[in-house]
Amino acid sequence: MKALNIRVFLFLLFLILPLQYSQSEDTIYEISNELMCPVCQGQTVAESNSQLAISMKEVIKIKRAEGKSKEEILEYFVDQYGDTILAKPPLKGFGLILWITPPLILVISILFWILRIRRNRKDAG
Amino acid sequence: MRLIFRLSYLLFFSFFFLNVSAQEPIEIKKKEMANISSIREAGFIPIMKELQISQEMTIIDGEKNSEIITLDKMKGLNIVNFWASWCGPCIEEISELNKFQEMILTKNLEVQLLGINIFDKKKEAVNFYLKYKPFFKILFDNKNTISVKFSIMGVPETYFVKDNKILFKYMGKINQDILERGINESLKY
Repeated sequence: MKALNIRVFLFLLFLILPLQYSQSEDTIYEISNELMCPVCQGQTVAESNSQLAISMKEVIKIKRAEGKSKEEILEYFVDQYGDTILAKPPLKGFGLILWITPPLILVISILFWILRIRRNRKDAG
Repeated sequence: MRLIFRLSYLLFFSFFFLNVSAQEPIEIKKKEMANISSIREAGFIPIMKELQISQEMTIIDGEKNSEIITLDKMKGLNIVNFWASWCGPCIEEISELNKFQEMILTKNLEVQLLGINIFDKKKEAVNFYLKYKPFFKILFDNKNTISVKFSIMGVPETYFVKDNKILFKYMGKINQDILERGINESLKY
């Protein structure tokens, strides 16, 4: 019975360990994918193999091991390099304008074309 | 039609101004502003940030079992030069930095010149040291993370740190003139 318990425990341990490892690796990838590499053109830290990106990944790994959350790590990098380090612009300040402007232009254009078609129909009628 | 255009303009600009005004006010005193523009005029990039490090570094001195130190609070004026063995301008500036270190020693200046190797393997840093023989203290970043703590963009970069505050940095190959200019700027703080 005791031997069976140990076997079950080891089996469960082998099941859980790789899962935990992959979760942590996934988070590191997720965080590095949300950060732009400051010395590359249009590449995130996850995609880049530059020396600085390697150092940044190392920092993410250490901070994760220290138990820091994704938000805390992103905040740390913003503090070091500014808002431009983020792959997605923040939903505040100038970043908010970047988010809002494209859909706003789309809505205005649709309204413009609807009114134009209506006026043309009226003129034709 | 006009109404839509007017409304959209109004919406866009009011949104823009609301956002700008909602941002945190910049509380930099007039004197600091003047100093920052003087830093820029001197060719440096202002940083003005408290340095938060506690990093294990190996002293590169050509010995096999080099001493490991902890780099933390930097008192007084420190000039920190970041370099890599594969970087051409880093090799070119080594003679200038050596001359500057000589000047520090002869004039007995209260300045510490420090070279930190990044983006390299320790062996490469040691080979560089043995080949170019810098006179100043050279450290190797064991954890490969100090570049992020200094917000480095590339090599070579030289930081002027006074009483644990990064004042400004110089990007690219440095020479004695720039270093002296840097010291003069640092004296304002």
